[in-house]
Amino acid sequence: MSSPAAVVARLGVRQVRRGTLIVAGVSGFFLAAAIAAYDQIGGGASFDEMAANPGLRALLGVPWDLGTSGGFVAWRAQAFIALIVAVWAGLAATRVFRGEEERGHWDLLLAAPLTRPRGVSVHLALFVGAGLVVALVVLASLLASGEPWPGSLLFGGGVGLVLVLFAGFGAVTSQLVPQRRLAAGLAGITVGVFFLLRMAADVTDSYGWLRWLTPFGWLENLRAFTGDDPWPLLLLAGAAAALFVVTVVLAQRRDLGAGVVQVTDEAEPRLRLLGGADGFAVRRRSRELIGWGSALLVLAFVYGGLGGSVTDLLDSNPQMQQFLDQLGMTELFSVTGYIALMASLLSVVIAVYPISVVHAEQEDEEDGRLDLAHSGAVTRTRWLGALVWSAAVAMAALALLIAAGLWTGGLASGAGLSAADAFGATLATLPVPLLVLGIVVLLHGVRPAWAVPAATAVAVGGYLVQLFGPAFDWPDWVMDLSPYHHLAMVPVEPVAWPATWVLLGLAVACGAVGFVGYQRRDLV
Amino acid sequence: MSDAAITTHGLTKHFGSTVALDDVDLEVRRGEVFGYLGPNGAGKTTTLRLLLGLIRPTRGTAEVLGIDVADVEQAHRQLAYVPGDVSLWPKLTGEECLHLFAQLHGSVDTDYRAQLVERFDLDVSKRARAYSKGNRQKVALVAAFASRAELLVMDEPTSGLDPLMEQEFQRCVAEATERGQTLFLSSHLLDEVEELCGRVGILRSGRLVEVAEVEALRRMHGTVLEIDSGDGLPDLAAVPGVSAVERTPAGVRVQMTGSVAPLLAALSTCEVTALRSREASLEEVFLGYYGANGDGAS
Repeated sequence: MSSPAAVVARLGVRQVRRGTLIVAGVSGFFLAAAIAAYDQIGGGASFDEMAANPGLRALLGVPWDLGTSGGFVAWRAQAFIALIVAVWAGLAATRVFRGEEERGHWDLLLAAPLTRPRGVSVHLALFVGAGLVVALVVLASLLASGEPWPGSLLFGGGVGLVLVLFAGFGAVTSQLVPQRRLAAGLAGITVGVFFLLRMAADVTDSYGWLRWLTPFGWLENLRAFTGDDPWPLLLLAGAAAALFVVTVVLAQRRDLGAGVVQVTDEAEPRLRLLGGADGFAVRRRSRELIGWGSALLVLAFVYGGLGGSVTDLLDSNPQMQQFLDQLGMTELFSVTGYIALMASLLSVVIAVYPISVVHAEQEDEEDGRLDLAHSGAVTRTRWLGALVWSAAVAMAALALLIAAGLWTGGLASGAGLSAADAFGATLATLPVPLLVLGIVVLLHGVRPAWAVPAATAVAVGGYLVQLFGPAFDWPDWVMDLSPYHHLAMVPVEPVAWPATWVLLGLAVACGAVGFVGYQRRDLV
Repeated sequence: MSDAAITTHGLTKHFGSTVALDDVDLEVRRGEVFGYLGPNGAGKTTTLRLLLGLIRPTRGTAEVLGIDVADVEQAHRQLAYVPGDVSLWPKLTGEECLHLFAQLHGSVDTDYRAQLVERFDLDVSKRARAYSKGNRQKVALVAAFASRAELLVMDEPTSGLDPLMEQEFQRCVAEATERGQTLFLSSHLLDEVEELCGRVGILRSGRLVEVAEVEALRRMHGTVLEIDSGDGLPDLAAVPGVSAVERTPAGVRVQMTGSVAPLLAALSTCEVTALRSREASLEEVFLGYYGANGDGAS
């Protein structure tokens, strides 16, 4: 017989296994791609101009020394890798802690001969394991590309500990509030605030001390490959340990099912948007829009504000041109190009939104909430139709918010960006998110279990292909697999109408098949 | 207008290689309370979900009130459903849930609903996440009864209710039948079925093995005689008509059909201190279908 803790640990592994491997794989791939890009242009290039540019520093981080491929890759990759690792860890921790508790699973776990601190500790240990896996994959990727041991160890360890640390934040917010969505939102805000702090710290050297206030800055202060200072690892580990202790203490002091922060379970009824399938969908979308919209607005505003300075440095230096080509950032030579690039990047977030909508819908279905809804006089087609049109409108709203953010950010920093450019750039990216909506609806109707992973692969994987294809010299047909590849960089280039229509047509076709499938299939 | 509330022909449902429901022909008449019995996994919930159009039949057809179950827009205007495991949106309050279900259903008797909320002692200002299983069940019951739908389909409707609420539920069923509504309810609770239902269908491993009136079913399964006796009794199992003999502290319990004369003749030589007779309970009938023939679910 295994001990209860071991059984619970094995159960927990199943919940974080897939996510850990995906995050580890994406991180490893990103590093390999960045090193390949560097190797193609050959070392020894002069990056002094780039290193001094405040906008690029804010976007990517402090370039300690770009003279070696290690120093370059640590600069190029750290912001992206740290961000996806932190976001995943925060979301996964709130799912494992608060999400499972909200669904009543913790009642079952703790009915076993297992104390609450021990149950919580076992789950925290899962994320130490996840951090270790990611650290090892990062290490392996760096070593395989021929980077030296000490820097690789530091960078891998740093990334792994960032994961553990932000899992700690997710675990704490899960203790604080009794709903997963709220806990996940708080964890997301924590990531956002620390990331913005890192951006501010990196803009100029005079604010460099700010780096010590954010875990993302600690990762930079490791100076992997360019000085190798191990002390920030202790900071990361210490902070993670402190959050773990706080989690266990808070978990012990509260009632299961409740949060440390008491929320009332009574509420005035608001019946306005409960008038059937459409109203109910609008009600749900409007709540989601508050979170997604405000996050994207802030992000777009910051990116827009960086527009002026990023493009300042870029003259027609052919070496720089080649270099940016390899990074998939050719357009950085003008403000409009920069805006096109940022709009394309942010469109990935818009593309992820419908996946989260369908994911929530599938949770409702699995938990049996749709049984009562579908016992009303509402056809499947109407129910799914309400979801699809409301999601499409919400996506358009997100695009408009991004455009508004980029434009006002550009205005605030005097980047000389017109409203037409900002809105044109953003709206031109919409066909890909809409195609993702079509794909996720198709699979939701035909093969529900595949919907979320496959659509995510298209939305995120497609972007990575677009970004790194050039560095690996991938053939055209591979590049063509990415839907992002077919769109033009508006406003630098004119709108690629044929591609736009094809993508939209595919989206509609996929969606239509999804409706037929949903009409015919069994509810779970 | 069809005079059957529910009709199925050869209704069959496979989940992969599992046969959940096999060739079920069922007819529930308008205005009756029909009990749907069977052990766990026999296919009760599968049948109900097929009738609701939540899952699609592999073969066969089903109609509710003369309308194909696939036409949910028409069919569901006239029926209401109480699932076995009621799951609500945690953020919605009870009142918001009731409003949403009324809107989705298309009709509601708001006065009756207010009365039911009172009678079931349901605090509708609370959010659903604060509700116990019983309270979630009450939300679904109130929504179903308040819809005044012609056909009420309920999956173990009283699971999670306390005895007082169970009584309230039985009163609601009585009111519904008085109005001519039809009830189709699956249950494990044989007392409840005996109390409420005119006819029952018995399901076993996906097959409908019996449909009969509760009274007829009992008669079919005969009489139970308890015989108390001071001295040893002869072996009664061999007596014609006796189907089971069981020892009790004071004597034996005999289950039998047909004339009791042979049994009385066999007892004539013994000193019988007491003889009690009653009809078989539904539980005994039920166990006869499942228990005696081994595990009914397999």
